[in-house]
Amino acid sequence: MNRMNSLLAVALFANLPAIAEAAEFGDIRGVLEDTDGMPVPNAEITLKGPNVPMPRTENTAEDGSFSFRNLPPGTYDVEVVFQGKVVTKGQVDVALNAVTRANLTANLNASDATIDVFGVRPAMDTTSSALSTSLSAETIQNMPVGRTFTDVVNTLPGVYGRVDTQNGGGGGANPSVRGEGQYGNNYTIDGISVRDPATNTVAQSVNFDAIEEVQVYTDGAPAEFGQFTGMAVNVSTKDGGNEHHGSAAIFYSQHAWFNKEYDILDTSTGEEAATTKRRFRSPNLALTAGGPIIQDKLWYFAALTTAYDWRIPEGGDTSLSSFGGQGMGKLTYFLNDTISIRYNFTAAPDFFNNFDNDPLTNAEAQTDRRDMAMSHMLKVNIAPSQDTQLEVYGGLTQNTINVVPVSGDAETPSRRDFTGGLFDNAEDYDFNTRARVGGGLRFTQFLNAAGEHRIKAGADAWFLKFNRELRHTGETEIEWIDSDGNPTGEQTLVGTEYSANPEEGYDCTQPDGSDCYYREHWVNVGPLGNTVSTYSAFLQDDWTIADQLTLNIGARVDIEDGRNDEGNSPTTQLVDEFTVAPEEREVGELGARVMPAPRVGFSWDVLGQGHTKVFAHAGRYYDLAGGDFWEWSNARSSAGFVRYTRDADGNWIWSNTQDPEGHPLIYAAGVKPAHMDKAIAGVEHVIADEVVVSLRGILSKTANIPEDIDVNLDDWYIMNSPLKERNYRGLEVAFQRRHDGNWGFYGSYTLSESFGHTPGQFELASGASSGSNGNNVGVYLDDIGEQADRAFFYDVGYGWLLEGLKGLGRYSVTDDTYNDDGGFFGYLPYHSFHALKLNGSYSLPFGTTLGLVYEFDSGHAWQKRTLIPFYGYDGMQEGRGTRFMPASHYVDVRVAHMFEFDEHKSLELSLDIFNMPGFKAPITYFENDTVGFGKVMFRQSPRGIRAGVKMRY
Amino acid sequence: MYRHFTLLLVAGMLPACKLATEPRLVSIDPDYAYTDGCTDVTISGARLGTEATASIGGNPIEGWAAAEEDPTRGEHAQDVGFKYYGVSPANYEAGGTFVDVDLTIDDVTLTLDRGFYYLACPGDFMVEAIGVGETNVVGDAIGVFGCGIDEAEVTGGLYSVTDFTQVASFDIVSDCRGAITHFEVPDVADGTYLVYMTHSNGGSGGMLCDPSDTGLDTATVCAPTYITIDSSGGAR
Repeated sequence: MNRMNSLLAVALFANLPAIAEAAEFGDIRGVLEDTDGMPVPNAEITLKGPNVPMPRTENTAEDGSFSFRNLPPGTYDVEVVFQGKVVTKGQVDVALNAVTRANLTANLNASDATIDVFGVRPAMDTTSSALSTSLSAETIQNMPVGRTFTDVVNTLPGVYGRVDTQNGGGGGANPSVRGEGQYGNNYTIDGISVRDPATNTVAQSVNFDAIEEVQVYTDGAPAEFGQFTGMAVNVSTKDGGNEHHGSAAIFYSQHAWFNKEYDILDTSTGEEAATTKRRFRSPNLALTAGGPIIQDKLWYFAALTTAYDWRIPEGGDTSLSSFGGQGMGKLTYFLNDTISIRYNFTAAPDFFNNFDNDPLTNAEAQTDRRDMAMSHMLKVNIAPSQDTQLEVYGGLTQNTINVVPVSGDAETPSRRDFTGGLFDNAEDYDFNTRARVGGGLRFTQFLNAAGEHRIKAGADAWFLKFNRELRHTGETEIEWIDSDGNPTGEQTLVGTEYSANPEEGYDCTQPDGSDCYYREHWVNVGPLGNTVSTYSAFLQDDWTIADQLTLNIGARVDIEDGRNDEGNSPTTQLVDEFTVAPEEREVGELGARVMPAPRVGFSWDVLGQGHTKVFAHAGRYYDLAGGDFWEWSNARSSAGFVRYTRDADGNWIWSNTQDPEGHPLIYAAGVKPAHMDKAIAGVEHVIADEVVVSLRGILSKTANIPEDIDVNLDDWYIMNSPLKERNYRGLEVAFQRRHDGNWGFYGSYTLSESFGHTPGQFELASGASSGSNGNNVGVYLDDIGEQADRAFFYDVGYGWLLEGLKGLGRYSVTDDTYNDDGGFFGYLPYHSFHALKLNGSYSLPFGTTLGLVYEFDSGHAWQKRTLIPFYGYDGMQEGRGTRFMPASHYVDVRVAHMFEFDEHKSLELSLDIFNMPGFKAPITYFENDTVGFGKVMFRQSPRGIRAGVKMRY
Repeated sequence: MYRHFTLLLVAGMLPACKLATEPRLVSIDPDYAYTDGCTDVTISGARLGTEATASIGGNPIEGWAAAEEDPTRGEHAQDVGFKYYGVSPANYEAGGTFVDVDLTIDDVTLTLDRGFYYLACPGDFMVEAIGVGETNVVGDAIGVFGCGIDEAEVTGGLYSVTDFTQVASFDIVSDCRGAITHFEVPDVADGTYLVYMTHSNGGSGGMLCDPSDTGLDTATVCAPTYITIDSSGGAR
């Protein structure tokens, strides 16, 4: 995948780690039997691994059972001694938040030379009713995927990330899953959320070579995981260990290999035309190192990635570049056998040169972005026994985005900033800071009472502060000018400059009907920001009632409270008081949002051998509203809806839209984030050689989706619209074999559909910038459901306006029988009717590894809006209307050869080819509108290559 | 044993996971028209088949026809945005009100509840557009569009652009009630004339400029419609 895309997506949406905590451990559970099948009690089982400082030893019980709990993920050497003699040994893999079943056979009569060496991997977790996939470092390193964890996630069933299912075009760093949008997922690295709470996007990546394990809950996640409606991605990084190890790698990636053009829609003409493909080149350096500072006491692990990206956007001719990197450091101190302390530090600077090439601004001017994300986390782990563990953690993160013009002046404005404003000169800037501080604790206890309980409980609190300061100096009062450039004497809004030159702005019409062109300037709005506090608590009991049946019972509650930049909670009004004069309405306070989310499931090991399980799970999932939700208490967005009024001296001043004089957006009393109810059921069976076959069905419904509803022209409410919901249903079969160092495989077929309200949901807003992604909060008028107001529009000749904006569905407060579910109808973009994924790798005996990723997407259609002609291509390039993605195939291959010098030292040469056949299927075209019918908007990413050299020691 | 569970599971899930097959009525575009009707409308929805019937305010939609299926849309042709075309019926009683749009398919009726607005014609009649060409010849049919343009009540004429006297008269011919009409260019000398129409009640057609109004130059309050007659056929 194109790292530039990922970088842009990551950096654009700023990064702010730390919301919810997530598990960082896994367990081993098994039975030791002799070759006759009789249990072997009192055998000593010793476990050693790179991620634990000292060996762990447990004795088998009378029935031969044993367990190791709270182990960091990784591969462990296991040795079993009975009556002073080694009776078996081998390796066991531990996956994140999963139980590896290790049923071992002791050869009581064998000599050392005849001991069978076993290898056990977590094929099936019979204690879990969740749909969870754990991908080991070996798995992800040997597949042809982009070197980010989100690219890895794209290979999983139910995940759509290769294409941007929402807007069309290539997928970015934010995949969608099971009918939820790209912004519904939560991501944790080493247990700490790295999702930006303002934009709900991936905020921070990690050196690919530092990843130990990636675990993904697509469905049925336990109560420990929260604040998402899509999936929970849990990444665990490597630790230092008692031996010095590391890696150094150089990769070079390039797009547009061979043919450089294809036909896509030229939005300026409305016709398809030969267009230069998006191109990029990117050298990349990746280093890791880890080991002991003090044996068994103090470990370090560090990773560094640097990348330079050069690209030319699709159809463009201006090159853009960026330079950035990610660094992380981890120190782990083992105070004693019980207490360990870990400190994590990350830093991720990114510099984008000329990151925007808006054609409205002059070609010479440039805007740069200089971002920096940093985090510090401290965690204390207290484990008095393997049955009891307390984790206490705290952290501080800060991220800044600074957008500055590096050329241009008032006469030749520089680039458009990423929220849509124009900079005038080098004194302007857009400076974002997001800081977060918080912490929490998590307690794990295993209990034997009416079966075995694994009880987890936790709570945390995080406090987030957004700050943004815009400085735009083009704050002169502008007058209309005639076609000769002479002022007409009529006054217009401050901050908007009009021109007679079509090259200098968007189309507009002057009061006298003549054409004009405008562009916007903003006054210096000064710092503005808000504060969002989140609190969460959960309790989860995985209760194995009997050997074959485990109940997964849990509940969590999340609380979110936001304050505007004056420290006040937004005021609320009752929606049904919209007919009352504003000054007579009952005013309340939004206050904290409380979101309880119960979950329950069972897993039945049908035959008690860990080979077959039947499971089901049902639960509620709340996403956070995030910064956007609360930012509306400052303004309709941080910039686009700032209003201006004159003060007593006649000077223009900024005022926020909670100003009751200015048709403010109103928080409806009781408005809260959306929630999803999901139920899954399935059966899994281990067939030969650790291959697990799984058949499962998934049903979900997301409701209570907040939206801005303009019930009439004057009253716009942020409310939980009863019209808007999303549904998903799918049937899926999957085959998986965890990589054993030799080969691994994951194949899946998903039959699914996602339907409901078209995009436009509040919770998907990206950066609160009006109009972005066609998926944002905006006042589209089409919500107006009061018949009198609609009749007014028709009668005064503006019926075309309602007509053109139709699509979201009208909502009537006074007459719910008039509600229009036309906007509700439609397949949503976040699915594919048929999806087939085949991923895996195989290592030949002489050190060559072959990897394959194949993805088939049968295509899908979805309703976005209607009536593209209303907007026309010039006004809204993305257009509105039904979109259609025909079937697409991706074939990515990898060939690598490893020269292995000893157990730890090796040199690997690799070549990855993405979209090897060079497929160029349309991955969005307009379907049935009158203007764009059949026009290809985007095609698959062109063939790309990545060549690499990696040295390990 | 597990095989039985598998079968049960699959059997239980399949109905739930079957792709949606129920028809959906989504929209009518445009969703308003004058009470004369005669407006081309498009009804879109999903899985509507090709045999549906529809009505607006209880009156059958005229000229009703299903869109031709586009083979490139494959299996999704009926899934998203399948369209019917028709013409809105007249409904003079419904002026200024919302009416239901009903679509019947296989004895199932889907309704856009109060999904269509009938605009009452403002005044006796309203001319919104006159389809004059750049040049016209005697006998040409000139389209006149609007509402209430009743051929029995509305008459028109061509007027001199210099002294605003009537040069010729013409009759209105209805093509679709009072919404879509035309007149034939009367036999007059080549030249440019002003077009004007009046109702028997004395009203004019809204946008038309009254030739008797010497303030024709106050063009901001009316839109003079000129017709150029060129018996040579001009540059057509």
